[in-house]
Amino acid sequence: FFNYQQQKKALEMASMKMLRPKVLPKVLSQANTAGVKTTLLINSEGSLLAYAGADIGNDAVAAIVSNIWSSTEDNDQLEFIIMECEQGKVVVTKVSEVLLCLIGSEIAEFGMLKAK
Amino acid sequence: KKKVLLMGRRAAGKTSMRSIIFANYIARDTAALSPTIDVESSQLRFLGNLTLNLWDCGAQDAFVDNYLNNQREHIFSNVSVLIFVFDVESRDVQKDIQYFSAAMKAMQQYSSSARVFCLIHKMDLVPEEAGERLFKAREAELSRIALPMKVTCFKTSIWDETLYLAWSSIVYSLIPNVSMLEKQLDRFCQVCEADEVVLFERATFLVISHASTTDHEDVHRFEKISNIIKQFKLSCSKGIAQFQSMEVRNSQFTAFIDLLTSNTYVMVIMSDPTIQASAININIKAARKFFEMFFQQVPT
Repeated sequence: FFNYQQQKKALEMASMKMLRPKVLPKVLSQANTAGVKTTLLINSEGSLLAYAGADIGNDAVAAIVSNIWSSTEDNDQLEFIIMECEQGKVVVTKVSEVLLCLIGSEIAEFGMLKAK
Repeated sequence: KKKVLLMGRRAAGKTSMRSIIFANYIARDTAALSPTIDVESSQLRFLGNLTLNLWDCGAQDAFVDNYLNNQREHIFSNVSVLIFVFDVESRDVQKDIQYFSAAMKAMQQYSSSARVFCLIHKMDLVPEEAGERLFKAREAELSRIALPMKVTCFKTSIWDETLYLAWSSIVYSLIPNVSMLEKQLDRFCQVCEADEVVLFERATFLVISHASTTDHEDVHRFEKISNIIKQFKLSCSKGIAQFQSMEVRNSQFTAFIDLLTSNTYVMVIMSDPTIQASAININIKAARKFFEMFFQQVPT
């Protein structure tokens, strides 16, 4: 049976780990220089968490990239996926529990994308 | 357990109200209800472990006489909330007032610290302006009669959202630690950077609490939303679909409605169209653990 004081203490100790959804795009947009068109943050289920830059059908991109990542993920040590496409380049990496995906135009170079 | 008395003269609309709020009736269904016999006592679970012991007191004159005399102590002891319903179209207003006055004397005697709510009901039958004047006059009179106890009056109708406003206020007064709940909801709203966050009880969709970062001109939006979502939820169950969550998006805002704890729903309103549903879901998921703990610790 909790008394009021114990209750209050327990409640204060419980931590809520949350995202600031308005700040996310601003943070992601820092990567959108030198040929980077769009930066995406994708959750483990393939849903778009946030993006900065052009909308190139980002919902679909998120789902596809997530799918590619999970089917390649047999090897635990997977760090990056790099893809060259007709209209640009894609670099994907895992950050904490989510995927970070940078989409660069033709002029962007892989080295730079990876570094970002 | 909180004891809630629901009183008023016969056919005032007490059972209809309680059926709509607690038993998933729609307004049309209430036409089929028959007069209540004696006292119908129901245990209503609210917010998980809060039990409302609702005494729907049938109001054939013989019963009323019984409550006020033979069963006086039994009926009026340990009451947390008295809800007194007045039919706005009553043919015998004096008798209504007498009954109320007698009940208040019993309340003063046995449960003087209880909250008292007076619902002026069936307001749909009265034109708006006349209704407002009538309500004000009635409110003044009832407040006077109830002294030294205080009353809170509402205009209600089963045909619109006013019913939800009254009942939300009633259950709100029964929630323990409600100010702490509001503080936490406010914090949740700030961190999410949402325009508004609303907390609903799961079965009734009554608004328990809300927090906002921006103002809105419609002060009646909460009960309207309760009304709309409740109707929608009921339609879903008729199609054997369990309502779980909803995302409503237009050019002005996005509303996310999802189960927060086992007994509450949360609605998060974002006017920034670039915010993705999954980001909000992460926040709801994080807050869920906290609020579940909060509600579990509510002492019975």
